[in-house]
Amino acid sequence: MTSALLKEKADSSDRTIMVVGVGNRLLGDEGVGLHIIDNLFQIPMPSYVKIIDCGCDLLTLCSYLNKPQKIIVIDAVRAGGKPGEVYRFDYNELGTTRPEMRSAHQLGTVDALRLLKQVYPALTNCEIIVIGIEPNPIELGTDLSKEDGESIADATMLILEEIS
Amino acid sequence: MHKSIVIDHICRVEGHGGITVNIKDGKVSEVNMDIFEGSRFFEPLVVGRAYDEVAPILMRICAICSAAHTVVSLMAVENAFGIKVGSQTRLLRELLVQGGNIESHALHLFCLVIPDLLDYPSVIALASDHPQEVKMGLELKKLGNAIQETIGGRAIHPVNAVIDGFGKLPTREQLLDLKEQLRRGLERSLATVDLISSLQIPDFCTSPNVYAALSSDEPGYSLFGDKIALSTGDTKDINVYKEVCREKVVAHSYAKQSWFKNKPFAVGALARIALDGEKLSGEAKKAKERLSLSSHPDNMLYNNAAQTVELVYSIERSMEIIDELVAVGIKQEKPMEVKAKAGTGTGAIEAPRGTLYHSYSFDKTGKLTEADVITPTAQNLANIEKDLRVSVENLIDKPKKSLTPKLEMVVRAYDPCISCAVHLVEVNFE
Repeated sequence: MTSALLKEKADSSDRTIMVVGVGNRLLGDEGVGLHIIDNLFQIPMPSYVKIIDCGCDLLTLCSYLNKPQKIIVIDAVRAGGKPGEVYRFDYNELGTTRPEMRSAHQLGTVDALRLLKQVYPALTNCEIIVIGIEPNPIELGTDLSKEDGESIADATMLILEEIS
Repeated sequence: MHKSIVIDHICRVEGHGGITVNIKDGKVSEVNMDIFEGSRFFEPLVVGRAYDEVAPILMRICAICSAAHTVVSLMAVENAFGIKVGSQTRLLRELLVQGGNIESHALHLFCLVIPDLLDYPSVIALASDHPQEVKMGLELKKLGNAIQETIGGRAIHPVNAVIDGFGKLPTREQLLDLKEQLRRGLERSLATVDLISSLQIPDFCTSPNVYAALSSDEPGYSLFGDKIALSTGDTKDINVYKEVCREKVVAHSYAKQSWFKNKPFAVGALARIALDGEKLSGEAKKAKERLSLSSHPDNMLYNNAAQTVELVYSIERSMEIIDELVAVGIKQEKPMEVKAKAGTGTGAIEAPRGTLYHSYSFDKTGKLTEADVITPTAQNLANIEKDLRVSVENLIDKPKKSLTPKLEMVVRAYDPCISCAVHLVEVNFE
């Protein structure tokens, strides 16, 4: 299925799609975005796709911005579904419960995306989507929960459809 | 009169994170800050792992501090096995760590401190009115990431730095290109000094501090050292770091607190400059004078001014390191084959937020049997609580609405590495 999907894609030098994993690998399901990125690294990708592991600092993306047409952010998202549920959000659908809240040290994913879009004109016309995976309660550990582990295949297929 | 102030959700690990201040009869009865850090969390991740798996795991504690965690972890392993690295490796590691310092300070100053001092609710709001200034901050962060990418192989979570050296070495051309970027970065860092010096730093959290930082007999200001110096006049070898960080378990926090001689102490940029600032030179020395750092030793909000000075220092020092490396020429050194043996080793480094310790024990096959990681944030916790108490006492007559952001400002001044651990997005469906 995966290779069939990829065969349909033609390389195109005039487009760039960035697939960005966010999360902390030491906090179980919080790192699900990075586990999905690991999976994507195993799949041959067209040259216009750039896969980036941003760890827990999405602002690192500013080191890679080169007028991308599309950015796909993959992250743990708490949206009230069952653990392992996969979501797709357009940039305009994203919001926070506390829009004025600042973390003590770092910006959250949505705020970081907002800031990058505000400051870098290269992102003005860029389509941004978030693929989210509902986590179980966050616990220390390098492994995913059973539910989030099983969600990797579905999330990967969704990302490949977004890329093609 | 406020009875209880709760600032929640500083950290979004379930059930943890936040500040609680209780007030009884007009006085502060209790200040609790709860974070999700400390050795009890990190140790189980690496016990039973092979010596060469430890740094790649523990550098994931924090993206922004990943260069410091990597280098200090490698130093601890090398000390356990009696490996001495050469001067080229030392210089490249220092350059990597300076990149982390530039990234971290730029991010903290522009995304949190400047919005605080200009009374903006967030950096996003600041960027609406001052996009060029915010972009300048992000370009400085990018410079720190560029150093880490050139030396460490990735913008964060370096992969090139290994035991006894580097898997891949930078070329002369890459280093010269980096120096050109640093030259532009120096101008931006001096503009940051102009900006910070024009802002009013409040004095509501002034109280005597004990400072701790690494020290060495080398002539220049440094983020490395084999001794721990304290503003009490005490000096300790890094191998007895537990004599400085006497850890207390407190009921209200997952993290242990560090105390020295029954007093809380502070680590970080202000501590480093208070203890070793006389060793600064060049533009960093001028920046220290311009930001009046010597005149406010006990106001932790000046930690942000100290970070501004270090932004200049780290850029200047990175240029010096590149000059040294280019003058001698990059030698194609290969890391030695490690001979594992039973032993214990400790590494210490000045990470952006303060002194960071990693200490490991290995069995004779090189499997890790014990690990201790003490982060700067864990060391600063007790001092943060002290400063929160002082601040509430100084501001107790202010309306709660204005008090809460001021207390958050105190916490942010320390640049605590709390929420970098967890950053879940919350989405509401209406």
